[in-house]
Amino acid sequence: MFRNLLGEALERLAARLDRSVKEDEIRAYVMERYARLNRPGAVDASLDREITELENRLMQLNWIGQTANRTISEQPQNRHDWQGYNWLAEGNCFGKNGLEPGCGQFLDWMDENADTGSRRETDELLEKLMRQVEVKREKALRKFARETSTEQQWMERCDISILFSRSARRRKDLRFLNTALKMNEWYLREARKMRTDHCAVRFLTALAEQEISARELLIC
Amino acid sequence: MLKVALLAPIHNSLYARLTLDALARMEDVEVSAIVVRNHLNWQRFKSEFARDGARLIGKIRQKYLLGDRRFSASNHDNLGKLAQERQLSFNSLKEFARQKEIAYRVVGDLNEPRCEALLRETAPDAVVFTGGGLLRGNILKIPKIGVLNCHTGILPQYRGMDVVEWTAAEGKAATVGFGATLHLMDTGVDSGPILLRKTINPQPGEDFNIIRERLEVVMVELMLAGIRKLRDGELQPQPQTAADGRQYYVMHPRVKQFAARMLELQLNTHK
Repeated sequence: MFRNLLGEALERLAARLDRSVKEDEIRAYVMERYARLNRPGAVDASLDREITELENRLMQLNWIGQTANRTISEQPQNRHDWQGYNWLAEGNCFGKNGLEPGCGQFLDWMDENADTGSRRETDELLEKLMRQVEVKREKALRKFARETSTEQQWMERCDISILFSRSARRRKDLRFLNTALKMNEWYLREARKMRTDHCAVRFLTALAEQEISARELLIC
Repeated sequence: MLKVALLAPIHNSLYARLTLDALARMEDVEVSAIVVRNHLNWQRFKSEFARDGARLIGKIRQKYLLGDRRFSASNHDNLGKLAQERQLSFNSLKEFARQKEIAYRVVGDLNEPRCEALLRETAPDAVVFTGGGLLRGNILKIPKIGVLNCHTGILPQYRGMDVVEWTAAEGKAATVGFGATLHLMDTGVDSGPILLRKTINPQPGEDFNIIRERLEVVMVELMLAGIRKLRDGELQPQPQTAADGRQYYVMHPRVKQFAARMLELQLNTHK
């Protein structure tokens, strides 16, 4: 009798402690935040491009219809000139003091454009980054190699989540989606710390990328 | 005479008890020490909760509340049935150690100096690892042959966590299969030289819990076969290279739901 009661209590406790977020909760969160950001004049015009990229993904998910006021591009453009990213020559995204800012977008570009020669290097970098996140969990990606603003730190974490979701699709490798799902869940609990609109849009993009990958890869 | 020490995650681990019981009966094998991780450890709870989240509560329920009774309603092969067949007569490793006068120690962490000291003192040829976290070099280098671990997956392909589920999720039930691998531990994750492997053939209707319970029986068989063959000089460890496999991590519940659907599909297709 006592064991049964205790068993039930433990089951209830496990249900309460279960922090996994379901697809409909993600969708509700994204749509609610997107509606706020999409009001006329709500955000700075410099974010138009980023919001358009978010909208592309939301349309891909059929969460929104065709938008009237923004041009839809096929794929997000790479926004960086990658010269100067020679820290990767050392074969790691982590410097002495922590994560190299910019590595999320750079690895995404590298993974998309990897030829036979750089494939192995890209594989190794991605594996190391995934291991770091999986082993250190919430504590991962908190220290940076160079001085980086709080906003930039959040943007970098979101970029790495985007990298994992996109690499999962490119490589048909569920492990990367698995890591992205966990990262986005941790960050969802801290979303209030992402104080700028720019951060908010990037995080919504990370969630949308995750859902695109889930839709593509979690189908029997 | 092959001298072995046993490392266990908890004093009442059925896997450890069944292995120990058979080792103690094995000819030309001497159990020289038993080291058990203390289960009442806040640091351990915190680190396992961070890794497993809510499912740790389920594990606690299984280990502490149900214990050996968790197998009572099952019909398939499992450790509970094996314990009945073998007429396992003791409920804790401590009790067995006292009966057989084997050196016994409870430690907070298997890497700590008290564990190291006991192993150095008893100088085992091999250490049988039945769980309790990662081992560091200070422990791994003590036994002459090495530390034996049985991994619930096929190595070298599937290293790390939740590999039964990952095998199903990646649609490899028919090609790689479900099984267990006995290997020598190194400082990496399931990356040490392979000693033995055995696969099982799951039937339609079996879920991950059933497959895992069946694999626990295979783990006991492999561990005992490994010790027997090492004693007789019949085993040649096969080294792995990093590129031979991939490392897997704790599976997110959404991926796990997908893995369960994939398992059902694969078992029904290959019946």
